[in-house]
Amino acid sequence: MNRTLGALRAELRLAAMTALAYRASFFGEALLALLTIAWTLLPIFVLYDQRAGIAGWTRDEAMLVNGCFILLEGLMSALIEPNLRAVVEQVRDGTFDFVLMKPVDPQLQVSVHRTSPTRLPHALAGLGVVIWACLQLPKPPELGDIALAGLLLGSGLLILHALFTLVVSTAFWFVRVDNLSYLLTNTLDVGRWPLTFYEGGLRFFLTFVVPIGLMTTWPAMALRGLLSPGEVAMGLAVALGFSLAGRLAWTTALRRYSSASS
Amino acid sequence: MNDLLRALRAWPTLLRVGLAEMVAYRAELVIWILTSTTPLIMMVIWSRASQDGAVGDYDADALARYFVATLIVRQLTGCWLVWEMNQDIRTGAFSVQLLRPVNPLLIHAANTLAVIPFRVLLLVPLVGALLLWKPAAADALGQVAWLPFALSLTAAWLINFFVQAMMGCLAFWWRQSLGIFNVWHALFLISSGYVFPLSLLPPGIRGFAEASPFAYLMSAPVELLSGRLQGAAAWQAVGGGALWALLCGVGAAVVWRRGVAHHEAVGA
Repeated sequence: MNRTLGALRAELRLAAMTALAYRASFFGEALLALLTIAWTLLPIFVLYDQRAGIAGWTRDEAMLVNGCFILLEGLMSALIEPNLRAVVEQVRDGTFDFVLMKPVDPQLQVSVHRTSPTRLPHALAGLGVVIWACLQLPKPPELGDIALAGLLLGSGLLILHALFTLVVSTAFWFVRVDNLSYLLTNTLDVGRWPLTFYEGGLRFFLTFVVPIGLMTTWPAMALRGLLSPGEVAMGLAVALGFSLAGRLAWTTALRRYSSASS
Repeated sequence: MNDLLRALRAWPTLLRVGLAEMVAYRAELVIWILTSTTPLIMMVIWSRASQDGAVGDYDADALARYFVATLIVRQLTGCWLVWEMNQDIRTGAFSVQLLRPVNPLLIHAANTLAVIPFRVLLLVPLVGALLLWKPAAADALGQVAWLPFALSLTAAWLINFFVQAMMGCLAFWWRQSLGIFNVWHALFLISSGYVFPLSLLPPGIRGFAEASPFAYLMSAPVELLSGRLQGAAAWQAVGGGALWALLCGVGAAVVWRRGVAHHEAVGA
């Protein structure tokens, strides 16, 4: 256990040092992130220029959903995407064997070792949008609401990690799956909008099958004080289920993997 | 001149090779093509918003028409040149392409065109399903000015290809130019009419968007295909597209020439 923690700490320190080595690029990317985010908020203003409320969401409330989306997107591209995308590369060029040789759980190793803190400003900007939107709400969220929203965002991150793990696990068979991860990130875009904008089967799909709505709309609903603790528990259960499925897919894939050199 | 003649003679073969490559990697291709789902999302969002009345000068049917057209135009003008150039230049594969007697950009153009039949194959069931959902989307087909649409679509294809070529060439200097392309793409999303019709933008931004190349990448062919532009307005859209295609073509040629001269191949 101690060894695992030590290894994790070393990997994360290495990632932070790498990011600091490219300071100019870091500030450049941060600036760029802010500009792009301001720009991606424009559709909400255009849409709500026409209507005061759509499907039970005012402009500021929809902004809350978008802020949660940007926050998760930033965290995903800092903590999840680069790590799991690297696995695909390692399987292809054979360096994945080095991961397997180390005495630390491979899933844990690949989940941290390409972490890129340079993308954290993006997440911070998302947090900024969430706070700004909260201040515009008629009734500011209470402490309990904020805690529930935090829990749901955390479980959203777990689900994202599991979804990426599921995709990457197929790399052991198909080798080329970078396009699948692109497809995944593109599909996640539906999470920019409140879940009630989607109807019927699509809404069910986005709540339980690929629970994108659960990741972004539910935290926003928690901040609006619309969620009961029971529903939050359900969200956590979904996240747990996804994590277990991800773990299962990963271990199954590893058992089938015959390594590059044997 | 000689070069161009040689390229023209090689063109049919290049197209055939491109087609064969597409068939070989068809599963991967399907996934890449499916990544352009944004028009579908926007169609759902805007159809929800238009349930209680028209949005600007678009009613529910017009919005459905608009986004079906967006999906089609996006697929037919899509291209992956900037990603391929970035990867090939970094890994050194581009040096091999430079050795060939035909300009690599022409080879990439042939590959991009060769994908179009596959894109159509995927579009047919998708558009069919959308028309079942919103039958009114097909209503304006009689009013479409087909010739201007075809020309405007060609211009959009050329602008997209040339811009990606320009940005791909930047990798000759920087090794990696996807960052700047992402900025371009963010601008494209808002100012091209890809996620909402340009007429819904506030006046200041709208003026910029309508004059920019972005409008001719998406908005112009889309409005033609949804039957909103007729007569003089239709030809005006074609003219603007042709102008931007020409400008981008010249720009791409200049950047290409300088980039190749500057290029020091990996391993050379």
